[in-house]
Amino acid sequence: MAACTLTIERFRAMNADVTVSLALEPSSAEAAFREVRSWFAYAEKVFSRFRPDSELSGLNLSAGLPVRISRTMEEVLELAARYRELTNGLFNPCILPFLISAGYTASFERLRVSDILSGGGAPAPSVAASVAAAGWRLFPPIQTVRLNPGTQIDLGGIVKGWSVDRVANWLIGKGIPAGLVNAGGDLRVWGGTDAPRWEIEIEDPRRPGTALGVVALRSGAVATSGVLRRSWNTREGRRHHLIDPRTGSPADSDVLQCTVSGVDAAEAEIAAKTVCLLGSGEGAEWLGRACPGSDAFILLRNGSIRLLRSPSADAGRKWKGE
Amino acid sequence: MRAPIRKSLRKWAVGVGCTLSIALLLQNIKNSDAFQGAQSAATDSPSLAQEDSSTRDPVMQEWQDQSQSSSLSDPSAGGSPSGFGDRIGRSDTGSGFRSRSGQS
Repeated sequence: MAACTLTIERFRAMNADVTVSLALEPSSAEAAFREVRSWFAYAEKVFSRFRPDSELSGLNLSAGLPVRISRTMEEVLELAARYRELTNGLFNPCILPFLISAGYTASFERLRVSDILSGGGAPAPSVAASVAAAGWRLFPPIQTVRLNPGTQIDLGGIVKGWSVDRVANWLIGKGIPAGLVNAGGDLRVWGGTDAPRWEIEIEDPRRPGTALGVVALRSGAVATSGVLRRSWNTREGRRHHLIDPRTGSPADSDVLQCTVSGVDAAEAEIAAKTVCLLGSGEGAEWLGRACPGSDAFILLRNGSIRLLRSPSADAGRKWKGE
Repeated sequence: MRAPIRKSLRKWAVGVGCTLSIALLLQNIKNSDAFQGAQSAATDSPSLAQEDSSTRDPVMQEWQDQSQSSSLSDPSAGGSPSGFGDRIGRSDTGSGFRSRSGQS
C-alpha cells in the first residue's frame, strides 16, 4: 500500500477547484472521475442559487406555497435545520437578503463593479425583520416543503461539504482503498492503516500559495473558512461573504481564518464558519461542546496561531505548524 | 319450494367442492420438490445482497436517474457507467498523499 499509485483529476464545480485523488490505476480511475464530475454537476443543478433553472431557485420563488422537492433537497434541508440548531442560529441558510444587501449578488467570479459599489451598507430594518421570520417547514411523508413567507434560502454554506461527504462515501462503498475529494478546500480523505497519512497544507490567506501549517490524517475531513477571500470593497468599507446573522453584517471577530478537522466535511465546514463568527474564545468553547472530536487551527487577526486539540480527537491526526 | 332449495344446495356443494379441489392442488404444488427448490433459490438470490448501494439510497438514486436521462439526451454528457474500467478524459498520477485546504 505504501507504494500505491494515486490517479489525480482536477476540474471546476460549484465555483471551486475540485481535486480528486484515488488509489486506482489510471485505466480504472477514469470512470470513477466521470462519476464524480457527474455528481458535482448534479449537486450544482439542484443547489446553485445563481442558476435560474436550479431546484433551489425554483424553491426560492415559491412565495410561501408548498413545493414538492427531491430527496436530495430534502436531505440537505434536514441537515441544515439540524446545524442551525447546533450553532444556535449562527449557521442560517436564510441570510440571502443580507448577502444581497452586502453586495454578493452574483457568483463571486462574476461580481461586477456596479454590484459591489451598490451593496455594503447596513441591512435595512425590513431586511433584518425578513431574516428573523425566515425558515421552512418540511413534510417528509409527502416530500414537500413550505418556506415561510419572504424566506430566501442560500445553501452555499453546507452543500460543498455535504457533496464531498456523499461522493466520498460512495467511492468508499465502491471499494476504493484510499482517496481524497477536495472541493475548494473542503475535503475528505480515507485510507487504511497501511497507507501513508494524507498531508493537508493549510493555506496562509495573507500570502496565497504559502502554507501556515499541515495536518496529517489517515481518514477524516478538513474545511477552512475565513474573511479574506471572497471579500470586496464597498462605499462603506471592505465586505466579505461571511455574514453574522445576529447583526446582518459581515463577521467582525478576532479570527481571520479557521480550519477544522473532524469526521465529515459538512460539519467541519459549518464548524469553521461558526468559530470565525464567534471569535477564538467563545468559538473554542462552542467547538468542544458541539463537535467533540474536532480540532481547529485558527489564524487570529494579530497574526498568531491557535490550535484547539480535542481530547477525544482521532489519535492518527497530527498537526504541524503551531 | 323444495326444488329450488335443492338446486341451490347443489350449487353450493359444487362451489365448495371446486374450492377444496383448488386448495388441495395448491397445497400439493407448495409441497412439491420443484417449488421448494425454486423458493429457496429466490430467497438466497445474490442479486439482493450484491445490489448497488445507490438503489437503496434515494439521493444517489436520484443522481443516477438524472445522469442517465441527461446522457440519453446528450451522448457527450457524463453518464453513469456500469463500472470502473473505460478510459476517457485526462488525468495524472502521483505518489504523494498531499492536498491543500484554504478559504474558497
